[in-house]
This record gives sequence, structure tokens and C-alpha cells, in this order.
Amino acid sequence: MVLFTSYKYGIFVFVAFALVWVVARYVRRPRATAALLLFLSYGFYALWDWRWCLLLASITASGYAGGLWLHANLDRRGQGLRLALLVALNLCILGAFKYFDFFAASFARLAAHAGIHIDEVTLGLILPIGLSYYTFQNLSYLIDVHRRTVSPTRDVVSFACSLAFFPQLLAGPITRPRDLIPQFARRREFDAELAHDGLRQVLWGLLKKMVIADNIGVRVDAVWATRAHANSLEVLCAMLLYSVQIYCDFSGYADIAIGTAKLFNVRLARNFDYPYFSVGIRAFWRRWHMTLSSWARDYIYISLGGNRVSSWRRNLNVMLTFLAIGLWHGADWTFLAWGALHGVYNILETTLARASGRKLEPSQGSTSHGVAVLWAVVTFAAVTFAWVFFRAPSLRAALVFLSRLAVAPGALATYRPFVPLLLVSAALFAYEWFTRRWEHGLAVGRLSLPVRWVAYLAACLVLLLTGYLGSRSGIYVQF
Amino acid sequence: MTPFRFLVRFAIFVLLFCVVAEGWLRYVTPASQLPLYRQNPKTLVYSVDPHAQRNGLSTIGRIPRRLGTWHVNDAGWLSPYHYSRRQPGHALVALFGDSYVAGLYSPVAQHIDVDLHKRLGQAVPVYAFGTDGWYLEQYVAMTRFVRATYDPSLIVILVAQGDVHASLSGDDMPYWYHLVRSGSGYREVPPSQVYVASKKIRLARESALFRYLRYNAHLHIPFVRGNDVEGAPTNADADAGTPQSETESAERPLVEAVAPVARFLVQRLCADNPGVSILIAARGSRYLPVRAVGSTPLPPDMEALREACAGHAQCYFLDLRMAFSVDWARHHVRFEATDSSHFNGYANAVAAHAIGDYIIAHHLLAARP
Repeated sequence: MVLFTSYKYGIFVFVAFALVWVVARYVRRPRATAALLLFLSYGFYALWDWRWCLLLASITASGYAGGLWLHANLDRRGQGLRLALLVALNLCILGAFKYFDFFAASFARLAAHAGIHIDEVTLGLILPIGLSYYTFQNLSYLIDVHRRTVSPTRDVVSFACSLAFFPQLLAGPITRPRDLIPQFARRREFDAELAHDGLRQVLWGLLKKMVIADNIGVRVDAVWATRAHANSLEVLCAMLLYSVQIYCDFSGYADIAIGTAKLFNVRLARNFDYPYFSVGIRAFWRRWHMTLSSWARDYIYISLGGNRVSSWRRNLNVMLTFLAIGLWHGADWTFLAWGALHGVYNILETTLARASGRKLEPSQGSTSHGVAVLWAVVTFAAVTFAWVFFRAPSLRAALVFLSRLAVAPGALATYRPFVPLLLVSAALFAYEWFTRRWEHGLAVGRLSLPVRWVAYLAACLVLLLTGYLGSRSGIYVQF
Repeated sequence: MTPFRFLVRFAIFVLLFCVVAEGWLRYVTPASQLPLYRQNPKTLVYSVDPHAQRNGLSTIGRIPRRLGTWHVNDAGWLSPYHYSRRQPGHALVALFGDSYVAGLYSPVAQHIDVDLHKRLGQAVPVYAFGTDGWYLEQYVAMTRFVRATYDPSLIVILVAQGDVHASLSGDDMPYWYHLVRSGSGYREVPPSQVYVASKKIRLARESALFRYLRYNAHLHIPFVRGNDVEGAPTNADADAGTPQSETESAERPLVEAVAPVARFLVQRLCADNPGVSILIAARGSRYLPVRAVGSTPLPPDMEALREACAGHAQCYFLDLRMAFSVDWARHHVRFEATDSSHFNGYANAVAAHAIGDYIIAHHLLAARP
């Protein structure tokens, strides 16, 4: 396994960097570096399991050929059917690996409740890493071609690269091919400033992932493992810390991916915009996993009719979109419950805003800063509550965990291990508040060289001394 | 800037960081130092190289916390005392054990051999022969060497759960003795390899950064084989006092599974050391007294050893758990060290006093000619 936090990834990036820029220097053809990047990306994927490369190639082929097919028949009848066929093909592949066993087992259980015995059929397939990400990228390309918002490319190398580019392969961001294809098609030129910023972003990502998320993860896992005996304060601490953990884990991974891409002069889409400072759930979803939420908005919510329908239909669209987002994360009732909760939050917020005739954000006029802060706290609390279902191994476990909130807190000494983690979390949020205009937490390119280097050395030392060097896998890698 | 210059600048930064980290891990929060082991190709004795580092500091964790200190004597054992052959008519105690006796996890002044020496009096030297990960067969084999070299009047062996069973598997260490089945009994197999620390390892150990990554962060370091560093996996986890090991009570089938090995080892121990008193002290779990003070049955390996000892007049068995249990009831001071996997200095003193009291009460120091 080549996780972003392992030294193997560092070696891989170093080799890739050297090869790509040597080729870019001596081979004039733009496709040469794209071909090399494609070869390296498939090699990277093969380090996990070479058979997954076949799957990636199949999805890529369906997108490339499908795009040309759709374009060639744009003005003919049956275009919707052609798109549906291509979407179904992609979803079938995703469904077979990710959802078949879940739905088969759920159906068998449902039938058993009705007194009908059905033998459970399971495929038992291992979910290839990154499948959900590149399938969604491929779908966005096909739908864009169908909507005529993008012309299909004939450059197979650039298209394949846009799905397989190794930094985004494991955990996104779900950058759309229409944004990536032009970047791979043009001649590759080294941008030193961008590369420097890429390294800084990688370092910031490593700090969030290995220092904060992984250290918190150990403590949160311990509370979940003994949830049946936990007391209210332990559960509360674990809930708060998990919110921090998942943010640092996923945004840390995204920073490493975006930073690595910058080394090759490729810009991936931003995935996080300080989401826990959001005032309201809708604002939260504009700033959390931005590439997935915008994907769901553009290709599910709008396809269902979006806002231009009646109020109840809009609410239904919102709910269906959030259920789809929940299901995207995994085939489990817990993810559906998590998605449903966010759907309910969203509908409630919209209803409340309409009833009061006010917007929540202070920037939009009618809300004072005090009220905005209050709403931000309420939003954080609601999101934190929903994470319980996201983190739980089952719905029953989530309910057991939440039921412990009614148990009186125990001795004060029990909470000592949580204190440093809570303080570090508070420090992180304070730091992020002051740097919220920056693209990432180490965007210090304007400072003088000695100051920057001292900052980098300090960050690396913190990483060495407090980081979880044992490489815990990223939470979103499994999706 | 060209990509090449970018890489050069990055390499300079990495180099600078290594220098800063090296300085930090030497002077601010020191990385752990572990003794360098070597093996005599003729005697096959596996001990510390006295020509390498003689004093060291053990730290634990990624933010290194001070754990203990160690000192290597002229003979290559972790002990503050100089070892010499026993004078006729005098007593000499040879103390065997694993990491507990090696004592890397507490200051030298709190090592168990130092405490036992204090308890028995200045006239009774206590020589410690301990290495992380050793098990009963390795102790038995080492007693032959110790007897030939130092001629002790009393052998004390500190055993833990798993020590009998590990004698069969050898814990996959090619540098140590182990047992194999032979017909209806067992046969001793000498080490299949002689441990020599490579030049690469000797050089790497000079770096505090390397030691930090290897010993404090427990990181697998590329191009360095795990066994090539210390050669001694610790069996601390086997007796780490986890709930599992506590619940491994002396169920008869488990005891009977290890009983033949225990009998064979005790028989060999007595036969190899005629006229020498042998005390086997079972130390149990460091959490047990805290969690379940009282009479939990002995774990299977220890119960088997207790029964095996009963058939030999020169062999004595002491259940140290009782001493810990009584001390916990009186003082409520915990026994685990900062790393949670070893006993602390206080526990060493409790054990040493219990062993000392037992030795005195049973007149085990009666002078040998």
C-alpha cells in the first residue's frame, strides 16, 4: 500500500518529478509528458493491485468512446437513452463492486421479515481504491458532453490522465475532466512558485493528517471500542474530536493531493474552504468536500429539477441528493442515515430562512455577527451529531453510543487524555480563523526566505516528534 | 528556477532539517539508546558488546520521555557491578531474566539486581544476566556458561507467562537456543546463526535521528532488516498484563500442554547445576494486583513450572504476584513503567524484597564449598 503518509509515496513522487521534468525538458511534444504521467499513474495504481488498472482502463474507455459517441449523435433522437446507457454502465461497475452485496443482503433480510426465505447472494468483491472518485469524474464528463457544456476530446492520453492522475486517485478531489484535460494537453512548463507552494501544501496536509487526525483517531477509536461503558463526557469529547479528526484527515489528504499535483504544474480543484466556520448547513456544504457537493448539485439536484419546482418537490430533491451523497460514501445504513440527517438539516434551514425572510450569513446583510456566530456553533453541533452515524459501524452501535450521553460523567482523571487533543484542536481552529483567506495553512510564500525556512523546519520537527509515523490509512481512502 | 535547482534547494532543506533534528534528538529530547549486542562465536553467549557504548539512556515515545538508564560492565552484561568468579565459601547469586532483569526501563540504581544486592547484604554479590525477549530454554543454556565462569551458589530465574512455550518456538530467533521435539521427549538445539552487528548498523546507531525513528517511533526503516538492529524482540507484550493474559488462568488442559516442556527444562536445569539452589520466581502481570487483588490462579506456564519444581529438592518456586498484591493493598502505588509494557523501579524494589525475604527464610544462601 502506498499511502500519502508513507515514505514510499515520497520516493514515488521524487522519481516521478525527476522523470517528468527531464522528459519535459528534452522532448518537445506535449503528449510525451502526459503519456509519462499516465504511465506513472497506472504504475502507482498497480502498486496497490495491478488488476484495478484494468477496471480504471475500462471506465476510461467507456468515458472516452462514450463522449465521442454522444457527440457524434448530438442532434439525433434517443440522445437521452444513449446517455442513460453509458451512465448505467458506469453505475453497474460501481454498483457491482460497492453496493451489490449490501443491497442483496438487505433484500434477503427484508424478505425474511416478510416470511420469505431467499438465499443471500454476495459477490464478495474487494472495492478498488478510488473507484467512486474516477467513476464520478467519468460521469461528469459524459453528462457535460451530453449537455454540450464541453466538447469531447480526441486526445485519449490527456483524457485518461484526467481520470488516472495519481495524486487524486486515492481520495480525490473529484476534479472534472473538463478542467483537467486542457492541463494535460498543453506543453508542460515548470512553475517554480507553484511547485514551492505545492510542497508547502503537502507539508500542511501532512501536519493535519499525521499530527492531528491520526493522534485524535487513536483516542476516538478507543472510546468507540468501549462505547458500551463510556460516560456522557467521554462520548461528548469523542464526538467533538471526531469532527476535528475527519476534517483534518480528509482535508489533509486533499492538501497532499493538490500540493503534489502542483509539483507537476497541474491544478486540482479545491476541496475544503474552512467548513467549520460555516454559518448554516447550506454554507457548510459549499465548503465541505466541495467537489462532491458541487457534483451532486450539478448532476443530481439540478437533473431532478433543482429549485425550479414546487416547495415539496424541492425538498424531495434535496433529500434524494443527500441520500445519494450518503450512499456514495459506502453501502451501509449508517451512511444513508448520515445523508438523511443532512437532508433534514438543509430542508429545515431553508424553511426557517423562508419563514423569517432572513439570510444566515452576516455578509448577506440582515444578520448580525453575534447571531452568525451562534448559527455557526449550531451548524457545528448539528454536523458533529451527524458524524456519529458516519463513524458508527452500525446503526445499533450509533444508538448505543448516543445513549451513553445520558450516563453521568465519571472521575475527572478519565478526561486527561482528551485535554491536549482538545487544546490542539482549538489552536488549529484559531490558526485557521486568522489564515482563512489563505489557500492553505502554510501559504507563507510572501514571507522572507529565512523566516519561511524557520517555519518549515519547525513544522517538520513537529511532524517528526508528534506525527503518527506509523501511517494510518485515510478515512476517505476507503470510499 | 529550473526543476533541477528546485530539487537542489529541496535537498539542502532536507539536509538542514536532518541536522536540526539530530541536534534536537541528542540534546533536547534525547532519542533512546539501546546497548549493542554481540555473540561469542565459540561459547554462543549472546551479550552486550562492552567495547561499544557503556552507558545509555532509554526514552520512550515520539516525544521522548525519560524511561531509564543502563550501564554495561566489563563482562558485557547490563549491571553496575564488576563480575568475578565466586570465592570458595562465599555466596553468589546469579539472576536470570528478560527485559525485567536487563532493566532498560528504570534508572540503574533501581534495577532489580541492585535492589536484591541491597536486600541480601553487601557480602552477597548479585550478578544479572538478562536480555529482552529471552525465555526459559535460553536461561537454562546460559546457566551452563554462568556456572562454568562464575560458579554461583544460587540461581534465581524470573519467569513470565509464555516463557515455557516460547522455548519450543524459540521466538524465531536464530541466535538463541531452543527446544525441538525428539521422539517422546525434547532436544536442545543450539543457535543456527551467530549475531554480528553489521557496520551499517553500527554506523546508523550513531545517529540520534535513526535511533529515534527505530526505537521511539518504532518505524520500519527501509533497507534495514528488523533483526539486524537489536536481534532481540521483546516479549513484553506477552506479559503486558492485558486482560487476555490475566484471564489465561490455570486451566488444566493448558497447563498439561506445557507441563512436559516445563518438566524437561527444570530437570535439565537441576542436572546442569548440581549442588546449586535454584529459585524460580513467577512475576505475573504488573496490572493484576491493581485490577484483581487476590487469588487469581497462576497462568499455565507458571503453574506447570510450579508443579515441575515440586519434584526437585534443589528447586524452589516463588509466586511474586502475592508480594505485589500485598504491596498494592498497603500502598496503592502502581507497578507499570511509563511505557506500560514493563515494571517500574518501585515494582523492582517490591520484587527484590520478596525474593530476598524468600532466600533468607529458606536459607538458600547456605555457603557452598
